[in-house]
Amino acid sequence: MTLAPDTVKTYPLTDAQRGIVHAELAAPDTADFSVGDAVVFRGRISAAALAEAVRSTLDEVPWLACRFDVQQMALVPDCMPRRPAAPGLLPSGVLRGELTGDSDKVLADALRATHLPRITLDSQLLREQLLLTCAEDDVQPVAVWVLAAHHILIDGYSISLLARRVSEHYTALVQGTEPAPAPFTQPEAVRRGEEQYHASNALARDASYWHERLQPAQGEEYRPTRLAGLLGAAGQRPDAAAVQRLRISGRPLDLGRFAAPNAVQGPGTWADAAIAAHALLAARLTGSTRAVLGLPAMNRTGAAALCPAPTINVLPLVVDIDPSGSIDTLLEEVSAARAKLTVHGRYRAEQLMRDLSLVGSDTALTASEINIKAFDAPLEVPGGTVALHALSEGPVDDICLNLLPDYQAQKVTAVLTAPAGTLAVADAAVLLEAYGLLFEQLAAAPGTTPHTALMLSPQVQRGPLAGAPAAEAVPPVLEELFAASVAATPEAPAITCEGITLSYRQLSLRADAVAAGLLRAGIGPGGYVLIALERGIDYVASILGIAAAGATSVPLDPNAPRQRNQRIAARLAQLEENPPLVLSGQAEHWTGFSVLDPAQLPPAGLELQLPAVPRSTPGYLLHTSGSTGEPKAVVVSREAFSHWAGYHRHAGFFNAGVQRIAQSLPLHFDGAWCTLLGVALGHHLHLISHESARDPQQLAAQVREHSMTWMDMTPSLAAPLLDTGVFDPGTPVRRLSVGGEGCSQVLWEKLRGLGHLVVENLYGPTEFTVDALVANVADSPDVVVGRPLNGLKAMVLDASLRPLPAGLPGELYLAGPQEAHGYLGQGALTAARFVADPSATGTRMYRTGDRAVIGHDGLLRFLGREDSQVKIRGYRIDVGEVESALATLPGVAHAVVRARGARLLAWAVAGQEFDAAGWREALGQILPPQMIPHALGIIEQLPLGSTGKLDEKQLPDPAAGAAAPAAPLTGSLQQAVAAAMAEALGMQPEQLGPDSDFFAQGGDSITAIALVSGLREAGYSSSVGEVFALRTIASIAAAATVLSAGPENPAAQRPELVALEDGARDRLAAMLARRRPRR
Amino acid sequence: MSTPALTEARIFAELATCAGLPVDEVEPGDALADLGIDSIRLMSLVNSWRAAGAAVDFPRLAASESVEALVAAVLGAVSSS
Repeated sequence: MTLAPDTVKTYPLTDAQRGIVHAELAAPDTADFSVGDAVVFRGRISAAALAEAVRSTLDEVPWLACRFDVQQMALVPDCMPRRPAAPGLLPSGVLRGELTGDSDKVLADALRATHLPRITLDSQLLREQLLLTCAEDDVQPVAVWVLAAHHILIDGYSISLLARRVSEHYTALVQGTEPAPAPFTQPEAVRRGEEQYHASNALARDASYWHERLQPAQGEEYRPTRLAGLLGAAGQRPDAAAVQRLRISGRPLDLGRFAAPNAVQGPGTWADAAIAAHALLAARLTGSTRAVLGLPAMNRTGAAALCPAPTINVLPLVVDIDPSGSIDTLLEEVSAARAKLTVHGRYRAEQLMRDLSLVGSDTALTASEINIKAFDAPLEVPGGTVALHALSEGPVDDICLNLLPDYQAQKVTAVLTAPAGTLAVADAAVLLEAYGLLFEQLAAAPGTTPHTALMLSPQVQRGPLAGAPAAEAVPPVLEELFAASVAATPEAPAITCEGITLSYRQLSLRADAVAAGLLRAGIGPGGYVLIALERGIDYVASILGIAAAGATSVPLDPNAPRQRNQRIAARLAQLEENPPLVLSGQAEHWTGFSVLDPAQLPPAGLELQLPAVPRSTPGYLLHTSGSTGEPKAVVVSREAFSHWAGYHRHAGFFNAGVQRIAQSLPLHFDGAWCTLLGVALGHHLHLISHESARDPQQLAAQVREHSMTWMDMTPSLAAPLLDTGVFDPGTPVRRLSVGGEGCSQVLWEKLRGLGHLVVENLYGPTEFTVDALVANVADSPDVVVGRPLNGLKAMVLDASLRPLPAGLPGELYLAGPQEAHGYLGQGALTAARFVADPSATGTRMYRTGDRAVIGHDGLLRFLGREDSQVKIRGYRIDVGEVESALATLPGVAHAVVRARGARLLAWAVAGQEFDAAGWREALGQILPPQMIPHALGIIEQLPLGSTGKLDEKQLPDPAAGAAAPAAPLTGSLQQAVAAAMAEALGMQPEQLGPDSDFFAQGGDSITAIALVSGLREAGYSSSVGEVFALRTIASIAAAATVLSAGPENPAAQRPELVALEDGARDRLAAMLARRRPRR
Repeated sequence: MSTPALTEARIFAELATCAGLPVDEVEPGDALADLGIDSIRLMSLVNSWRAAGAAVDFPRLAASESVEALVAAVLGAVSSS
């Protein structure tokens, strides 16, 4: 039956409903606004009466039988015949008959798994329902009414209103009485209330409150608390349930001193503690003192109290955590903020976003949310009870907490929800346990307790991750090791470089010559000697000679600009009393310094007396790049070096017979020591030239030619080397050490595939002497940095220097005898980075500044200095995941993915088989749309910096230099489209041709709006829907029309709080149009 | 625990406790939201008054536009037995 249009009542949207439309608009196909509840009737329930009660109730709420009309921005009745609630059976496994405390949970879990449809704004029916029974005849011990709908129709509160009314109808039917009149108010009444508010003084008052409260600190931007992404890729292991949203329940928590949920709540309630615990946890894990949590405002007074329609308005609750505050002060702060949020809760979140200029940006108003459920008394019906169970609570954009009070047991349970793939179940469990612990401490500890004293883990005395005990308490220093090797095997080959091989005896003669020269020149113990030589045997001999003379080597990069090295020398001269000496063959570049040329030095005489210097004397000084640009000079003592060398001598690769080592890392990089140490221990070192080191083919050839058994390199160097097949079975190589930068999951798996090699991953800042953590790739299927070297300790600490339990991320600290002295000439910086170890008196620990997490397997995982997750168009994307996916495409040898501005860019080292035209579609089979890179550039090889690490700055912009389009643009329309497209995408119009595809060029739904606007400004009318459908310049131009002045859009009658301009409206229509083919 | 009789004074007192205000700062014309009373607090009041014999529920009390209306609704729901 069709009704004449003007007799059909439409329901214009309330503010909250508009907000939901907007939210679905902003988050494309992955947003899930399905809300579902199970209303469970237990006892002796008549299925027929229940079905009738449900029908009667729904008759009273006609707006629930609607679909969404985007043009009218309203709910319109659905003209399809109404399906009766289809009876079905309860899922198997649910306990029938005898009821135990667990059965409702089992029921809810089973229903969640099997009965939740995904409902979107374009679904024909925005609401679906089922009546589930378990017995054949009418009387049921358990009957369940499942209601699933789009959030635009209902929320949790609405369901409770409906459940209550169903109970009233059921009771009336069973008792044969008349039910009370329908209690519901219409959405129209809610809208009137909203209009009154918008016209009132309260609006201005509320606006003023929010603008003041949300004012960020000077120079900072507004930022909500985000917990998703804390663990980066480490949290997205295969068990992270890629498809389903994560939902886990914690254990029931004790309320301690807080009033039970059904007693009158004064200030300082369990709800305040729940929020405070969330804020504290977030602050500890993010290192911030301000938590901005999403908290829904109730907004259920007046007409909204009795209207089954959503009134959701999630506003930011700002908690500034006073570092020296107590539990009491924290709870007061939270309580006051919560009361204020209630008072000013009618101010729409969407409006706040506009006020803060967040619309269209990558920042949301809120991210991590906390929902505190307030439940009414359980409902009763004759012969039974009624309970509600939320099956789906609506979309989650971040890690959120839901607090469910249990009035009977006087406890409260926390349920954690998180978007799919955000973190692994095990880590979510740790997070939830830490939260529960914080809550219970807030409830039980004396109010004057400083909140910094609260623990995140019950293991109060958690020990640090410790390496095995060191083999030696006083390991030999470098010069002692070398001297011992010379004495033991003087004729054995020590070093080979460009065809020349020196034996240990010969090398020691060279080294002694340098030592003698230095002593003659007056270099005293600890005097600085700069090595400004080309890479070669003399460089190595110099290092050894400087060590023998008791001096401190400062290895310089032969490929660095001369001025840079000169600046280093000048700075050293400033800081040190005794001027440094320079080893160089070009004295003319070092005016003002004493210069020795090792190539010209006479051999040391027999009278050479090598000094014995204290072990604390600096052994070398190396520069690391500081984040401010000025390099920091790290001073490492002989003592520290001896311990590091001691580990590798005993537990490392040096014990498996004499190695032929390919030394390919630059000698001014401490990573070089991994292999360089071999020349002090009786092994045969092959110094690979700078050119060969960068050329995988040459390097592979040398490895084969000299039957190298051990190589050390950065992951960026290892990747192309693997491709040469030099590590295939039959290779002479037995051992591989990888380090210096993070290892990708893709490379890790390839290295694990080299079953016949022993491969280790080494991590270590220069400040801790070469490396501090080691892992064997066989230890774990995902990338780990493993455990500390022998004699060292590693700790993952929060901002208060408290140890974190496995699974929670924090900052990595290192302690042990490998610590450097500090930064030369930078006492304050040294004190800031080498801090007192709270767990051991009198010793220091080094704060690496790196984020890490201890896995549940006891192995450390590196989380990077910055989030490896980037934000593109509001989505959190892990670049590692995109790189992995790209690497699976045929022909791709290596992939790098980075965010540049708002674009996700990719580079691939690819061969012939790579499908340059179809890569986007191929990736679309593996990744969701928002993770597909906007542009891909093919490169010959990964660009490396001077230390062999990936140099991102050298990655060319993939869009630039794209081949000029084959055909020229024809006609002014095409030109206008190209101009608008280029403007929208930040490109040059000359790069576009008639066949240029908007999306292939990097366009998306947001830039499509800009394109349409730009066209409009040029006098042409198009729509986002057309852009999506037609895609190329020629087609879009063909469909565009000349803009003429016309009437205003009649659908916008009411002044819109959240203005949906034509572009956005079109975009919504386009989005919905795109969805339809999939259904 | 003995519960005092459900009177207007008691209702005002408990509202004030929830709002964290002195009882004389709660005006009959105040809206619930303006008192900073959210759903947790309102629910606790519902439970307290229900235990005292008023057949009230959350939605009907929340629908009250003012304190005055709420008091009337609560007292009107007290069973006479």
